[in-house]
Amino acid sequence: MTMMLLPGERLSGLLERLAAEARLYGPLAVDGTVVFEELGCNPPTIEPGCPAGSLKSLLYHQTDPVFDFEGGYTDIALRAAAPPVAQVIFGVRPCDAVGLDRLGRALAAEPFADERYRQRREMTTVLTVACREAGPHCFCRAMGVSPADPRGSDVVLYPADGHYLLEAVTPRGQDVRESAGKLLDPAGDDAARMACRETLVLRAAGLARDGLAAHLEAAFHHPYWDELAQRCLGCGACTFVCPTCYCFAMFDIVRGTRGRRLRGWDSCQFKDYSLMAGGHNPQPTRGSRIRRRLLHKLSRFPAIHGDWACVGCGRCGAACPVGLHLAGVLAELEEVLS
Amino acid sequence: MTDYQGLLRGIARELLSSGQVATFIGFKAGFDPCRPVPHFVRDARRADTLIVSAFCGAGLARHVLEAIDDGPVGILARGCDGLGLERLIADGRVARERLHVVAMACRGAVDPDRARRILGRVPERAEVDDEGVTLMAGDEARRAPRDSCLLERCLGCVDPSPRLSDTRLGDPLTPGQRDFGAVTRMEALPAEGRYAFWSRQFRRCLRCDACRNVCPACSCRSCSLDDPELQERTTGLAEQFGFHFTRAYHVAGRCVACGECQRACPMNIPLSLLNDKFLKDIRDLFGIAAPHRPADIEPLALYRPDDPEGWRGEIR
Repeated sequence: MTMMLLPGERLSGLLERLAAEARLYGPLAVDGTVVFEELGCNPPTIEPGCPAGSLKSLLYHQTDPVFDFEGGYTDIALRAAAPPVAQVIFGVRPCDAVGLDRLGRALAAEPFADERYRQRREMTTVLTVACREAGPHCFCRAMGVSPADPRGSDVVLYPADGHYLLEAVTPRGQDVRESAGKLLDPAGDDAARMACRETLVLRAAGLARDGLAAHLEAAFHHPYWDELAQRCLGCGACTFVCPTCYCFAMFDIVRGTRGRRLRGWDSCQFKDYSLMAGGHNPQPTRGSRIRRRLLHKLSRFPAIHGDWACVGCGRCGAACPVGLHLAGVLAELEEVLS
Repeated sequence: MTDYQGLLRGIARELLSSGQVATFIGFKAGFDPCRPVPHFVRDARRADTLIVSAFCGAGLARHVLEAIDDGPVGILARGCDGLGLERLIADGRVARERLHVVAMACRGAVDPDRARRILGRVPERAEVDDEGVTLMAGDEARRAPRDSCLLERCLGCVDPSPRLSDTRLGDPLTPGQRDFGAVTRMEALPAEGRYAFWSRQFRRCLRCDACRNVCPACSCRSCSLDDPELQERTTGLAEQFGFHFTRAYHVAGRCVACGECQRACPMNIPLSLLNDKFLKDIRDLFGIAAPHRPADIEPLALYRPDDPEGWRGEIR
C-alpha cells in the first residue's frame, strides 16, 4: 500500500474535507478531560496514551434508542429509531481501533449480530494516529497490540516531525486518501511507521501471555479474589471506560401512553447485574464479580472469539478510584500463586 | 523527617498481635510506585507491607465497612479519613469503640498525573511540606508549588489532622476555615452560564457510581440510585442532572468535604463544587461555622417539636 505524506499544516484542511462528508469526531479536551466529541472547528487533542473515555462511546452508545412506542395494551404502534448516520473519527489510538475488532467479534458476528452496532460500524470511518510515545497506563504490547497496529483502522497516520505519514489500510481508507487529493504529497520513506513500530511500551512487559487463561482458571478458588474485593469499591468505572466491555441492559422510559425503549451500558461489577428473577445471584460477591470480569476478558472471550478482550489501553488503571490496574492485578495474582 | 512508615508498621503489628484489632487498614505499594492502593492487613507478620508516602491519595474511611463485621478495625487516618469515620459513626454504621484510629498529620497527597506532567516522567518519590512539593524520579528532583501537583481534594483541605485519635503519628496540625471561593464564583455566573457549565460536566458522566461508592456519607445498604423506578438509568442530559442532584441532595448536610467523589470520578466531574454549595448554604442559613465536620447539631438532620413549620400537623 502506498504511503503518503500529510504536512502538519494541512491537517486542518483534511479535517474540513472529512467534516463536509460526515460527522467528524475526535479526542477533545473538555475542561481538561479528553473525551471523544464532535470536533467542529476545534483541533483534536492528541496526547501520549489514550483519551479518558474510550472509542466505544461513538459506536456502542452509552444509551441508544431502539424504538419508540405508543398506545394501549392491545394496539401498540412501534417506530424504529432513526438509522445511524455516517461518521468519521480522527485521532483514534491503535488500541481503541483494535478494540473495535474485539467488539465486532462479540456484537457484529452471525448468528447473533447486533443490528444497531453493525450498522453504526459500517457507517464509521476510523482514522488512527499511531503512537510515538506510551502514556503512563499503556500496556498494549503485553496484550499483543502494537503502537502501530492497523487492525480496526481505515487509515493510520504515523506522526513525525512536522508531518504525518498516511497509510490507507482498507478500501474506505483509500477513499479518504483519494478525497484528500492534493493535500497529500508522495512519501519518501516509511521511517515514521518504523519508529511507531519500535515505540517502547514497557509496562507489564514481563506478562506471560502463554497459558494465562489456564493460569487464571486454575486460580478460580484462590482467596485472592476476596482480598482484592475488599479494595474494590464495586463501581463500574473500569467497565465503562474499557474499549472492549460490551454488557448492556434494556430500559423503557414511559410517559403516559408513549415511551421509548433504549439499550444502555451495564456493568458486570454492579451487584444487581446478574440478579435473576426469584432472587438468585450467580455472582453474589464482589470477589466473584471481579474474577468473572478477568476470566471473561482473558479466558472465556478468547476461547469463543479467538483473542483477548483486552487491548492494553490501561484505562481501567487510570479510572479506578483505588488504583486497580488490570496488568497490576495479573502481576499480583502471579505473586500470590507462586 | 519522622519515619511515619516505620512507626505505623510497629503500631499495626502490636494491634494485630495483641488481638486489639482483627484488621488494620492502610496502604500498600501499588502497581505504580506513585499509586499506592488501600490495603487490609489481618496478620501481624504482614504489617511490614504497610506504607506511608506522599502518593497515598485514596480515602480509607469507607473501607472500614468491608472489615468491621470481622472484628475491631485499626485504621490509618488523615484529617479527611477522620471526618469520614466520624460520619460513619454518626450514621450508625460503625461503633466508635470498634475502631482504633491511628491519627496522622497530613500535608496533602500528590496527584500522580499532575506530578508526571511537571516532572516529564512518572514520579517515584515525593515529599510534601507547607511551602511546596519535591518530586523525584531516578536522580532527578524538582521543586513544585503545592497547588500545581497536589490532589484537588487536598488543596482546599482545612482538616490536616483527624479529631478522632487513639494513637497519634506526629503532632496534630491546626485546622483552618473553608472559604468556598469556587462556589462564590459559580454563584456569580448568570443562570445560563451555570447551566452550560453543568451540562458540559454531566454530559460526560459514565454513571459508574464511583462517586457514590467511595463516599463515607453514602453508605446506605440499599440506594435509591439503584432503583430503576426512582432513577432512570438512561443517560440523557435530564437524567444526568437528575442523578447528580439526587446524589448531592442525599449527602447534603452529611458531606464531610473529603472530596473523594471528585477524586474517584474517572471523568473528572467537579462534584465537590456541588457539595460545597450545600455546605456554604448551611453555613450561611443556619450559622454553622464548619458544617462539614460531623456535629451534635446537624441542621438538615434535626427535628424539633417547636419547628416553625411543624411536622404534618401537630405533634403532642
